[in-house]
Amino acid sequence: MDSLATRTGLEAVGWIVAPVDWIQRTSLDLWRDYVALVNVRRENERVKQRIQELEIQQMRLRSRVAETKRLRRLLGFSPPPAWNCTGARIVGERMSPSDALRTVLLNKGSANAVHPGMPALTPTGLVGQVLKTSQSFSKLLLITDPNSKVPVIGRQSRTKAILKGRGAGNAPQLDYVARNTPLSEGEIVVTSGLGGVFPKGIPVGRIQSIEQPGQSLFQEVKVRLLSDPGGLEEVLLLHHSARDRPKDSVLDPARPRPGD
Amino acid sequence: MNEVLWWILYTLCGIWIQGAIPGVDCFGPGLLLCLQTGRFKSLFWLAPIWVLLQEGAGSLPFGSALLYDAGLVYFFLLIRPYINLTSPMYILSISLFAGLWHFGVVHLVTSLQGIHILSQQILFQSIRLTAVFPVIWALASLIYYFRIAPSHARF
Repeated sequence: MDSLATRTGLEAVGWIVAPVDWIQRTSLDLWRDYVALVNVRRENERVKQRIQELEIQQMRLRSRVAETKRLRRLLGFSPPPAWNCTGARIVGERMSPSDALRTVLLNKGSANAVHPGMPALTPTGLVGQVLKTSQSFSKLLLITDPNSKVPVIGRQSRTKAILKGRGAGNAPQLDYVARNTPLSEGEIVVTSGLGGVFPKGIPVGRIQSIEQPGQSLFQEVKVRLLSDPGGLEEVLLLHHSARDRPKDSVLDPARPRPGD
Repeated sequence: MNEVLWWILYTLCGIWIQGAIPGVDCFGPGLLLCLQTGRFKSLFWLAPIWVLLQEGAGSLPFGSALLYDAGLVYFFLLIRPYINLTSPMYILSISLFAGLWHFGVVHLVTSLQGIHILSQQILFQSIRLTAVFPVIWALASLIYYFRIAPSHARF
């Protein structure tokens, strides 16, 4: 029944909400395009798109440089799987009273090779993972939801932990950080790749505060997210290149770049 | 206006309103409207559609919307012999029940499934649902009685 409700209910709600979102977006775009400087705006959009792609590439490469240095010392290392990404637009937020989790509705579904568990990010950092999908739409569980648990690692200290959401407006927390670990305020945490859901090296947040509760074995570490899940309009969905691959992948090497 | 067309439009508007005001329930008032006007045929085909829409668009495992709607119907049948349907007490008590029941159902379903929720967020959602429920019911009733089925008007 859960599957039936997702395939029919989510699909129907998506198709009903999408035209309103389209009208709203188109009206805004028309207003912006014709009132503002049309060519400058379009050029700006192309450049922004290119910057986003380069930022993601840079993000991955930065992580790989550090990784390569460490891995050179190891023998028998198997390279991590390659990941590609596809863009999706947010067309709605909580659409039902039974939507008790922090989710948003995306305009891509199983027809676009989107499947539950796919990580979602923006050029600045991780924002969540796909919770469920219908044919043309999917629900994204945001990283701030208390049910979201992401394996992370400190970029400098290499301290491993689990990032757990604490609801909207509350900074997520790192669980299971032992008292003697060398984590410091301001350090960037990235996905550790453990568990296989999130690829390694995606920036998640910056350590905001570290407290040592009296009798606990662990530190209380709060993280300020690099990407604000509250103000999202579009996200990039990551998928293994080895698995099914969407046609409009923004990192597809065969895809012509703007300005080529 | 044709009754089937009315309910289709009502459903479309309900989804848009639920998208615009997160957490409110637009189909509960519709369910009540069907019950109080004795439109059981409409209820028969509308209830499964509304349950599927609510469950599909929701993020909880299947059952929460079904349980919530069943509770509303049960409470309506329970209070019907004691409260005049034209009395403000009728919709106020049902709205209050809807808010409390929603809070209870979400907590029940999430605790059974081991899902973490923030009680404060669900509490605010339930308060919002309680406040908006009579407004939607009043608007839907006015349109229904005066435009769709004037013979049912009790005002």
